[in-house]
Amino acid sequence: MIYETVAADRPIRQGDIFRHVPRVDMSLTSLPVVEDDGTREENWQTIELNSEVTAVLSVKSVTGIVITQNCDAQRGEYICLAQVDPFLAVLGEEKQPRNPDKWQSLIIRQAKTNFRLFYLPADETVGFSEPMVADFRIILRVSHIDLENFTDKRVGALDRVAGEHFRESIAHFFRRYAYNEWYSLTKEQFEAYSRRCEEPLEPFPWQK
Amino acid sequence: MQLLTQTATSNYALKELSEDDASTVIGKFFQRGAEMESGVDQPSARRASHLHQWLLAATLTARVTYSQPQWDFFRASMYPAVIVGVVSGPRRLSLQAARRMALGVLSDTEKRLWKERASEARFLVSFWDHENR
Repeated sequence: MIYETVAADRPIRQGDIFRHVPRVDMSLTSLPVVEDDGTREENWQTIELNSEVTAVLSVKSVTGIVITQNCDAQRGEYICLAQVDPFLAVLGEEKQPRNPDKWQSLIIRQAKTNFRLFYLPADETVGFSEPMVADFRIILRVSHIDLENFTDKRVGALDRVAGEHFRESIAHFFRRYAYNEWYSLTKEQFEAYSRRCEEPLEPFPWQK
Repeated sequence: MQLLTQTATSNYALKELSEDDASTVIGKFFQRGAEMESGVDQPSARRASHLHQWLLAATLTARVTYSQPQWDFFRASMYPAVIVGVVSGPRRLSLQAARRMALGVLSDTEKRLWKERASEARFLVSFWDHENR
């Protein structure tokens, strides 16, 4: 649909989709550090600055899509990928939309409101049996050399049109500035806005 | 920001992992992979399964390990996850406890991640839904 197959010897590019990418999770407050005389639980804060440690960490296999731009992907030591997960599960939707109209509504609504997600339609040629999304807030870093030796796990890539949308979405997501969108509301508007939020909001002085 | 702020405790080693937790899920994942690779040949599936378990153990305890902390997740601007850790002195661990701790981190990260994404998605579309009613 919006994907293309990729020759094994083609250099890695933005929009390439890889299966079986390792995601490492760790806790800085509870780190099992391995030393010559055994293993012990450490807090990262107590470990000396600039020191190197060996630790027991969990590794999960996930699907990822390359977000590193093409030049960097050829020259850089590392390549970054955004984790890819099932669309409906990420949204917490338990039921599938009933018809194409509901589907398009859900997809467009998310595209317009949730910039961290990039929609990837189902397509068996890349192994997506259901619609998926790339999550720009979950970035995986993999050694360039390792990923080059891993091209049998590259299941496809975004085609030209999808690739152009993808790069714009990445750029838009990472160039955003944080701001409180309720700053311009009147006191009454702020109160209405605040009721809709699940979290307590701090009004600006002119909204109190 | 308080309602959606999550707190992670540090003592993963003390947690009992249930059937749904990461160690079981990962164990089943490797076992399933071994069975798929070996077709219906159950004895060889079991042998492959043991091999995968050894590989998993070797991976988790390898001396050369690199990691990328998921900083972005922990300082997500909209729904921050605050880590409240008890700073304690070094505590000796068996390799089994260390493995359990690492899998507990994975399991907890997964739970928080899926919850946070769904919650944010619902919040963002709530304005859209309201406007289109």
